[in-house]
Formats: sequence, C-alpha cells, structure tokens
Amino acid sequence: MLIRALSLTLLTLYSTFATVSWADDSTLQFYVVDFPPYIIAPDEGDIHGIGVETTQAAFAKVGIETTFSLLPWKRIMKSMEHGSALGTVSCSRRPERSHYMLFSDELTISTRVAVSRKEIDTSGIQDLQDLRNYSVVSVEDWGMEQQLTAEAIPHEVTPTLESGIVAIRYRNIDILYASAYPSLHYAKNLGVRKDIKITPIASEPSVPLYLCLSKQYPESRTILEKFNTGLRMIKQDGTYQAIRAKYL
Amino acid sequence: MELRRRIAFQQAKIILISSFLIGGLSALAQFYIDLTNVRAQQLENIERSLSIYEPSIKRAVYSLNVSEAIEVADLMVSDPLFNAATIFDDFGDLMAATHNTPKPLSWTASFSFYLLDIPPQYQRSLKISDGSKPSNAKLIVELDTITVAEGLANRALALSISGFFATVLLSAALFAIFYRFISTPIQRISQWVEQLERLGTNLSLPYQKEDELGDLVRNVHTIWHKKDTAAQQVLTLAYYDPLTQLANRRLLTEELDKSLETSNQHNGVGAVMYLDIDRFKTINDSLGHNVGDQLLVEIAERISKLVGRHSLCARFGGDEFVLLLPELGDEETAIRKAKHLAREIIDAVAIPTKIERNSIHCSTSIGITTFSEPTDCSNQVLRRADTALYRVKAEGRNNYQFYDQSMQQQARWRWEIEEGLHQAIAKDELQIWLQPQVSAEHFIIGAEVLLRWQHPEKGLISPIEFISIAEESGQIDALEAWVLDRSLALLRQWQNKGLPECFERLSINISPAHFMQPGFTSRVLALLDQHAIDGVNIEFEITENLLIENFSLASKTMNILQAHGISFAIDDFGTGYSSLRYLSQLPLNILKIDRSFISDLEHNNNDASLVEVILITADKLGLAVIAEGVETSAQEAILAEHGCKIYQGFYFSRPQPAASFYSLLTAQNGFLKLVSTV
Repeated sequence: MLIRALSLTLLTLYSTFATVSWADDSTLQFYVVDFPPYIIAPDEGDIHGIGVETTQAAFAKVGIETTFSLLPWKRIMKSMEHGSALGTVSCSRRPERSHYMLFSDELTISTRVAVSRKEIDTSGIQDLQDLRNYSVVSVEDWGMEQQLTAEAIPHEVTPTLESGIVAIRYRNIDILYASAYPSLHYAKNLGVRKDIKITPIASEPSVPLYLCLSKQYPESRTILEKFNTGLRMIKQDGTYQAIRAKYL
Repeated sequence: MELRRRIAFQQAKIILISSFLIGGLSALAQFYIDLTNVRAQQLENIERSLSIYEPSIKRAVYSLNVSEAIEVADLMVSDPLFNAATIFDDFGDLMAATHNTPKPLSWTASFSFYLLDIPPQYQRSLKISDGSKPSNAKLIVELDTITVAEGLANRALALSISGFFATVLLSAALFAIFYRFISTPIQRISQWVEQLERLGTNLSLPYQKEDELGDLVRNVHTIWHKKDTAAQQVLTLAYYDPLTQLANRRLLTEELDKSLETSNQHNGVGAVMYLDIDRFKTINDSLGHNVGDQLLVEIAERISKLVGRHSLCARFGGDEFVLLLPELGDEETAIRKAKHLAREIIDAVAIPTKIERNSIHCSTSIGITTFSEPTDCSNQVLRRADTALYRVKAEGRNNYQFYDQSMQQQARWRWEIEEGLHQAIAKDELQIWLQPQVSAEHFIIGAEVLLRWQHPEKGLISPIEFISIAEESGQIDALEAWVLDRSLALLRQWQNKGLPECFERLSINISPAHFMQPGFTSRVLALLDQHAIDGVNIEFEITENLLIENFSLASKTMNILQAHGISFAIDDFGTGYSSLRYLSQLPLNILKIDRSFISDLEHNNNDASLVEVILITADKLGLAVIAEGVETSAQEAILAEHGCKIYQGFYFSRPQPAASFYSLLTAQNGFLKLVSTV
C-alpha cells in the first residue's frame, strides 16, 4: 500500500515535471482514423470513442491535455515513422511497426471476425485459412489486411470499413475480415445491422490495441511512461471501466 | 516568240515570285502568331491538366494511397499532353512513376517544340496539410513533345503546302488570264502593225475595246494614217511640182532612166521635149509673180492635156517644162509624132490667157531630141534637148527644133566659152580694143571701147562670140565692170600722157542686163570718182530694146548718171522698137545708126532714105548721130551728103588694141590718115 502510494506520488511528480517539460508546447496531438467504437469521428462534434476517451483520461490523470485529429491511416503510420506525428490510438502491435513505434500498456482489445451476410454459411470458418473458400475483402493497409497478405489469402481491399460493409451487403463479397465492434458500429449506422452477422475466427485471438507513439518524436518515451502511469491510475480508480461501459 | 519572253509569262513569273515572297512572309507571320497562340494554349492546357489532376494527386498523397497515386499517374500519361508522371509524397518517397514509350520525333515536331520554348518537364509542389506542419509533395511530369508541337508543325506544314499550291494555282490562273487578255491581243496588234507597212491603214482594227489596248490601237492607226499621209505628201513634194502638180525634175529623170532602159531592151525610140515660155521673165516682172504663177499653171494644164497617158510632163523649174515621150515607135515615127505634138503645144500656148484683168499672149520654144542609143543616159538626153531649145531661142523663139550633132558642138563651144570667161579676167586674157569715131574732117573725136578675149587655145575671140554667152551666164556684169574700170583707167593714163584736144568722148557698151543690175548706178559713180576723168565725155551705148523693156527704170538711171556727166547713145538705132516719145523723154545724146542701114547705102535707096530720116529726126531732137559700119568712101559721101558728121567703121579704122589706138590717136595729133580701103 505504501509502495503504491509512493509510486503514485512519484508518478505524479514525474508527470508534473513531464508536464512542466512540454507544457509550453501545448497539447499533445494524436492522429486517428474512424474506428468505432474505439475511435468515433462524427461529422460534427469531437472525436470520441473508447480509445480516445481512455487516452484522454489517462493523460489527464498525469496533467497532460490531448487533442485528436483525423488523418488517413497510412499517413499516420508514415508520419510516426518519420517522427512528424506523435502517435495514434487503438493500433495493434505488428512486427513491421516495431522499429518505429512505442506501444503503451494494453488499451483495449479487438477481435478479428468474419463479417458476412446472414445467409452466408460461415460455419466452416475456424481458421484464417478457411477464408480462402470465400471472396474476402479487408480494409487496405489495416493490420487485418496485412495479415491476409502475409498469409497469401486472396482478398479484395477497400478503403474504409464502411465500404467494406457495403461490399458484403450489396456486392458479391462474402466475407469482410475486420474487427468485430467497428464492423457492427458501421453496420448499425448503415441500417444493415440486421442483415449481417459476425463469425469469430477461432484461430485468431483477440488483438490488444495500444496507444502507439513514434520513436522519432521528441520525448516520446517520456510521454509513453506518463501515459502508462495515467492508464494505471484510471484503471485503478474505475474511470477506465466506466468508459468501456459507456461504449460496450 | 519564245514563251519565256511573253508578257504574260513575265508577269506570271513576277506574280509567282511576289506571291511566294508575300506568301512566305505571311506564312512566317502566321506561323509566329500560331506559335505564340499554341505556346499560350499549351501552357494553359498544361496548367489546366495539372490542376485537374492535382486534387486527385493530393488526395492520393494525403492518404499515402500508392495505388491511387499510380492510378492518377496512369491517367495523366494517358492524357496525350503528358508522356511521364512521377509522384513523390511529402516524405520524399516515390509513390508512382509512369511513362509512355517514347515515340520517334520528327524533325519538324522537334524544331516546332524548340520554337515553342516550353520546358519538356514540369515539376509541381503540392502542399499537403495534415494538421502538422504543412509539407510539399512533388509531381513531376514530362510533356509529350509530339502532342505539344505536332499541331503546330502540322499546321505550319499545311500552311506551307497550301500556300505553295495556292501560289502556283494563282500564278497559273493569272498567266492564263494575262495570256488570254493581254498577250494574245498584243500579239494580234503586233501582227497588225507589221502588216500596216504592207497593206496600209485599210486593215480592220485588231482590237476595238474601250481600254488601254484599244486606245493604243486607235492611236497607232491614227499616227500611221498621218504618217502615210505625210509620206504621200513628202512623195508628192519629192516628185511633183507644188505649183502645177506636174512631175518635177527628179521624177522625170527617174522615169527617163527607166524609159531608156526599156527602149534599149525593145529597140524602141522615145523623145524628150524641153520647152520654156518665151520672155516669161518680162511677164513675171511686169505683171507680178502671182500672175506669173497662174500663167504657169494654165500652161501646164494645156500641155498636160495634149500629152498621152503614157507620157510624162514635168516642170523643171521657172518656166521650163520637159516632156517625156517614151516608145513612140521607130525613128521616123517618133520624129513625126514629136513634131505634131510640138506644133500642138505651140498653138495651145499661143492662145491668150486671161488672168485677173490681164490678157496675156505668150509663146513657147521647144527643143526636141529622140533617144534610142544604148549609151544614152538621162543627163545626155536632157542636155541634147536643152541644146536644141537654145538653138530655137537663138533663132527667134516660138518654134521647135530637133537636136543635131552640130548643136552639140556649138553647145560644147558655148560651154567652153562660158567656163573660160569665168577665168578670163583673173588670167588677164581680156583686152581693151578701141575703134575710132572720126569727124567729117577725119579727126578722131572719140572711140568705142570693144572687148577682145585672147583665149590661150582658141586665140582672139570676138565679143560677138562670147558677149551673148556672158549675158546668158550672168557674167556680163563682171565683164562690163572690168571693161568700164579698165577703160577709165586707160583714159586716165592717156590723159596723164596727153591726149589730142579733138578727142572728146569714150563710148562704152553697156548691156541691158548690166544696166538693170541693182547697184549699177552706184558702182559707175564710184568708178568715176576713182578714176576722176576730166575733159572727156564718158558715153554709155545702150540698146533700143533696153529702153522699151525697162523704160521707167532706164529713165531714172540715165538721169542720175547724166547728172554726173555720163552721155548716152542708142546703139544699133533703127533695129529696135523705140518710139519718138522715148527719144524725146529720155536723156539721150547720140544715136548710132545701125550698120545694116549703111552696108548697102550706095545701092539701096530705102536705106538712104531711112538714114536721112534718122539724121533729120536726130537733128530735130538735138541728138548727135554716128554712122556705124562705114566701110567705103561712097558710104561716107552719102552720109555726109545727108548731114552725118561722125563716122565709125573699117573705112576709117578697124578696132585696135588700146596701145595701138593711142599711138594712132597721138601720131598726128588726132588726125586719122586713111589707109586705102574699099
């Protein structure tokens, strides 16, 4: 208990110091894509979602303000690779990202599923390779699409998750390989929630999602440590759970 | 005419060259304008195309969407404007690079692109704003030079080709037009002008339109017509006498030459008549040249009507006419016809002519010669006819005479005398001789100056032989002036040496021609002043006819000279037509009875009576009388019986050279001792 309190005190001091070290540089800017429910970017209003609010709360705990802006995923990645962007929220850990990204403690979990029309027989999908039996689409350059590529599973690409939903609902695409919650979110928005179903792929474990920071960005490590501190704090005081409950 | 020398060709050539030059300049100007427009247009196209693709590129770069970038790049190179497109993201990484296979570039397109001065490669920075610091992506495009320049090159080529063909067609068309409307008419006009010389202005006009060529044709026609008219007039003036419209000397001579040639070929005989109007000068001088001209015209008309169609009547000048009668037949026929015609002409001329208020009577003298000899020429024939005419004149005029050989000799003699006279004075061949005039007491009271000519070849020539020739050839003035001058000089010389008191007159013959010369009076007075003769009367012997024919002028001259001491004697009195009124009104001093009245005085009572009448008349008029040609004592006696007191003749003395006369005069102080004569 004592150690915990001492740790919190030290973290607070550290955070304060950390805050003091870039306080003049204003708020931390994070770039995100629309990835509900983790990241929801409405036409009007602020960007929010599980990942966004958790990140905000965690940094707030250590006295750091954050803002979030939309950018295309590839740009976010490349900016982080070049150190011109601090980071993004709710991104998965991939080997090819490791050389330029810092990953925080687990922020949330994403389950990769096969999204299809209800009438599609997906009972045979147990393994990712089972997708070979279907016409597959995935969001271009997302982790799942890269996975399909890595697995040499033939697939179509689509620029957004929403267009993927459209593809499986109205086009001759059987399966959308994507995350479960975002897919359901878009299907609901498109009014086709009742027309589709999701099929978990047993071979694909849930993928944790992190706050990813650019190694090249100045003091990114410091920032990452502060975040982790803040995250622990909000997990301890129930803020984290409240946020999840709000969206899930 | 060679095609290349034709006006149409020359003009077409000029038009072709001009068109090429103008067309070339125009094409260059047009090309420059086109070039400028194409350049502006292509730059605009490039900018427009880039601006069209820019949002897509930006979007692809923003999304770092390589496939989209490649798609846009592919789309750009499918645009014929671009040959290659390269896209770099704002991180400097290549996103897309696409290019077309380069097409071979023609030299025209290459040159046109060079002229366009458009950079073959365009680089464009694309601002990507991703929320962080804005950065620039890069677009690099390569232009398709063929597309950019080909239009220009094609248009330039099309312009050149079309311009070339248009120029050639224009030149060909203009050549055809000029040939049809200018060269052909000009050639026709040229041929017409060529024919003008041959066929005259009766040809129809080759071109009658109211334009410059038409004016040219009409002007040429007018000028040529005037030229023809003038030529005709010149011909007329050259060959015809303007007064009588008869042929002139030149034409007759040419026709005579032709006739001689024809006569020689055909052995025919022709004839030439040389005639003039007797004493025409008198008529002309008395009635005026206007009347004289009208008389000539009338005579010419009469003569023309008498000659045949094949004959030619010409006026040689003055009052001389010549008739050419070719091919009259043989010699006898020719002579007969010529005689007949001559008689007709004489009769025709004799008809009185009424001109103004005058009724003129005139006659003609005709010299005739035939021609048939191969060696005859026109000059010889005319000279023969003229010689014959001269004989007619000498024998009393108003007749005709055929030429014979003796006339030629005479004519030659006459010519020699005439020519010799020109040099006689200079060569000192003339001599003053004198024949004494004696009184009843046989004292030499005076002398008549006689002129002798010591011809170097012919010997001594009597004045009877050369005076008439001198008068006709106009040399009498010079001769008598010389005689007058030498005579006065001699007299002065004798006076200085000494003259008998009985010698009181020196008589000098003055011909009518000399007497009527303008300036005669002044020359005589000058000589008188020069020689300053004193104490001896200078007496001028003049003929009766001079007085008759020139009464008024003769009277005036005689009065002036008489006032200066000159006496006047009428020579050969009794042979002329002088009237008593003339004798009374003129300042005369002496009458010299012609020798014809003396020569048969002893046997002819009529002559004696006439001599008596003359003596009585002279006495009544206060005139002295000298009897000329006294050759016998009987004649002297009869003359003395009738009261004649002065004599001259061989009985007393022949004419003597001046020196001899002076010796005779001074030998016995003027007394003339007679030598026994018949």
